[in-house]
Amino acid sequence: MIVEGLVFYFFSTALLIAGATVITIRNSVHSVMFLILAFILASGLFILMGAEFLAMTLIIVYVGAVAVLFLFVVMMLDVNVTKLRQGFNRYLPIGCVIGIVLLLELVMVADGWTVTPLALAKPASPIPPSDLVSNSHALGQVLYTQYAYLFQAAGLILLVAMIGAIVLSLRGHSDSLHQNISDQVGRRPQDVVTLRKVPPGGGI
Amino acid sequence: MEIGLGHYLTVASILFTLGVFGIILNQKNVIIILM
Repeated sequence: MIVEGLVFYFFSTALLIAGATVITIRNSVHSVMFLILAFILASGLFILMGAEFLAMTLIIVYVGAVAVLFLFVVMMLDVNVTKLRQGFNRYLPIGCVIGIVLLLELVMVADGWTVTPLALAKPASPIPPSDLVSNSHALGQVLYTQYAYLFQAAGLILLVAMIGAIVLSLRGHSDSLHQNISDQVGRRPQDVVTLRKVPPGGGI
Repeated sequence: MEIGLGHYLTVASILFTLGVFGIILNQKNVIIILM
């Protein structure tokens, strides 16, 4: 038990330090590196809670895909760091005030958090106890059966978001390839086809 | 040294606050807004 406490305090302290470094460090690439460190430490905390599926998802999805995407964005956009840091001292006091108020509220909520015994006694979908199956197995048992429609709905929402992102990135680019239906329908053969007599040995 | 739900929620709330603080602090940084 004492080992669990030590591991928890180590991971959470390192996580908070990494998070603070992400928002204060000057170099954007280093910022993304500390973001990756924060993801890994957070997945360590998930493992400590016994949620190994979430921990693996955090590593695979966030570190493997999202953070690498951030790294691409940072390196390709060539962000001007000195310009970004212009308002740092101006926004520091108001940021501190808002942050401290928000933190106090959240700690008050977390401190007074209790789960109703009624909700604990009757869970919506009882899963097998954790000593019988792992929690990824338990998730897999209900994800494609009981929650299949919700799973499909989540997929549809992601598809709509993807189409929206593509439309937004194409809007306003006149050089992008797109159809002009009236031009295509109004096209006449005599406008686009010409018959020429080509003399032997000469070009058109 | 029993680690309960409150400990995890406290860490999560501090981390969330750091994220909000980061948005206010450097307003244009893409990474922090996405975080």
